[in-house]
Amino acid sequence: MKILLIEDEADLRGSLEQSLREHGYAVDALGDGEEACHFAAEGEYDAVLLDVMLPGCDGWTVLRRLREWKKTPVLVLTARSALADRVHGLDLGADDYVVKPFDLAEVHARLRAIIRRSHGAATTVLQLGRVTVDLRQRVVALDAQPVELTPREFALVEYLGLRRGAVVSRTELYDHLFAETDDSFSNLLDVHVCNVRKKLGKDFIETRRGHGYLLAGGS
Amino acid sequence: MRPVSLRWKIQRWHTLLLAVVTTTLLLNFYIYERRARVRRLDAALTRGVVEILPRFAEPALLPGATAVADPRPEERRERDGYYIVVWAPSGEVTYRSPQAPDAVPWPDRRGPVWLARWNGGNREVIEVHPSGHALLVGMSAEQVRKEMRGFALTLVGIGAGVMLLGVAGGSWISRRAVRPIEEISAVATQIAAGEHAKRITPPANAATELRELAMVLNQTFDRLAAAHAEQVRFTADASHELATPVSIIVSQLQVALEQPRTPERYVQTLEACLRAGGRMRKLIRDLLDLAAYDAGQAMPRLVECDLAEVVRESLEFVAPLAEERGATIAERLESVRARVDPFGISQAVINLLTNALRHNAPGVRAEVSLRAEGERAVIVVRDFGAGISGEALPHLFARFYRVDRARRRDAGGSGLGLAITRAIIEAHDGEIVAANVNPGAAFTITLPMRCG
Repeated sequence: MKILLIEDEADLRGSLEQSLREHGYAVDALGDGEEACHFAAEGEYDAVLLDVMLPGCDGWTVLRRLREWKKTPVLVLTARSALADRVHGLDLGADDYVVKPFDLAEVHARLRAIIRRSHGAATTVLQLGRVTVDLRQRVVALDAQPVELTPREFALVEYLGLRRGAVVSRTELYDHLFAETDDSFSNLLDVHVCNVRKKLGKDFIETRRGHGYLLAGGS
Repeated sequence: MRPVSLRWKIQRWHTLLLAVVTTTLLLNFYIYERRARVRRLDAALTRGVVEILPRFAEPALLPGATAVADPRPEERRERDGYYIVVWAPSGEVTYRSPQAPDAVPWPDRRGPVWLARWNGGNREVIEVHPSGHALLVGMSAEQVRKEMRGFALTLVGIGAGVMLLGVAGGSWISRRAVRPIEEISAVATQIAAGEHAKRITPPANAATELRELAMVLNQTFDRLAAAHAEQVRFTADASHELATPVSIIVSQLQVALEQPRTPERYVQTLEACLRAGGRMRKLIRDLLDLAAYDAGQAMPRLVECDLAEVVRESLEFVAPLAEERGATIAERLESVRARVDPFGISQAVINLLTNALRHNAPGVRAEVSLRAEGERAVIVVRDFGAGISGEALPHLFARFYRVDRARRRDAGGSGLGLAITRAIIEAHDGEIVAANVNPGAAFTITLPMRCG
């Protein structure tokens, strides 16, 4: 899962970015509105975490620009709990909001929820054949036996799981699993896919040569 | 005294006045009418006297004249209900009608004299002839009294009617007069109960005074609503300003505690928390300063001093920042003695200079001048930078107003600097004005010198 984090407070951006990374997200973090407008419209993200009080070009403008092009779910960070502000944000196409001062657990929960909803999944547990993926606890089980996955591997399973039944291209996977700043080569993806197959069974991820990967999920 | 409604008060006075006027009028009418009737009765009696008197008095003066003529006029009069008494000059009764009442006292007057008197229920007219003979013609006044009783009843009826109409009319008028006041009061009550957006619309036919009252009340409500809105906004802004540093502290600590970290990472976390804490401390100090000025507690401790010294101290204070920003600050200071709070004025000048340095590109040129203008000291802090946008100019001194949100945090201000500056100057009974002076912006502080 790849997140675009737009927050002008360096100290807040730092902690949010680290926390998101440690929860297995790929994160692009920006502190400037102008840049954010560009990134939001160009990049492929699973969610945008947006502070609306931004220098340069304010959060609402970023949101409006983004909505002209994309349906990417947006979680708004705001220090204003005034109803009018919240309604304004939701009207502009924000999917949810968190009021400052917030708790990181709340940010994570709301982020998971908007990503899940954007993929049309209502629950936090995906049943993929013999494999169970708990998106909230971030654990995977094979035949009810817990399986250790690295954060990247989990992100791969999560993304394919949410898009189950659809062929996901390598480019798309790459876009959603790695941040702009990640130094990674495209064959890294093959390594992750290979590792997941080792842990969850050879047929768990199917390869459609020339198209991409598919997680049938057995259902 | 027990409070009474305005309408009841008007009604009460109106009724009382009406009662007094009506009663006086009708009473006078009654007295006038009664007098007129008695006078008419007197005239009739006098006619009798004139007719009869010669027959008793003249023969004495003119001996040989016939004393009695037929038919005797007194008999005719007696038939009409009159009675007649005649006295000789000695007081001896010479003639007396049979129907005359028992007690008819002799007038005992020398003539010529005419008089009218009451004798019990009878009216009597007496003429004393120069010869000393006295003739009395009297009559029962029962008829007059009866008529007057009827007349009095009529008058009481008229009086009651007038009072009834008057009271009803007065009640209608007072109700009409009071209704707009009641309407105004009802709306004011609603506003007091929390419907802050409501305003009084005086009825179309309301009196000028009530329109003015409604206008004054509306203006008061507007001012109160504005003050209330300002208070709400201020509270929201203050909590908003605190929200970000609290978020930083909480999220930094949560991340740090989630798993074991390197000592360097812990130091980073602590530094970030310290920065956030510092920001909160600055904000809270500024808020406390402002609150103290608002409450009138921070009354400046006035000391007579040379303002030029105060300004120079401020310049020394901002010198490191000026160096960092590559700015130059020129000074044109006259020596001006004034009674001020040196600490407060210094803080105000520092705030203005810091703003000038921070909100302009590095290398900006600024200038501080001080001069006396009559009884007032004038301090001008100007820069030769970009100036202030026309949109921002009117809001410059508002709390938490930021000309450019982008510069809000790296500039390190709380958004309260200019609000505090104005509070300091106003506590000195001075004023501060911001204006664009091509090129750049100028803040002009005017202070009363208060020196003997």
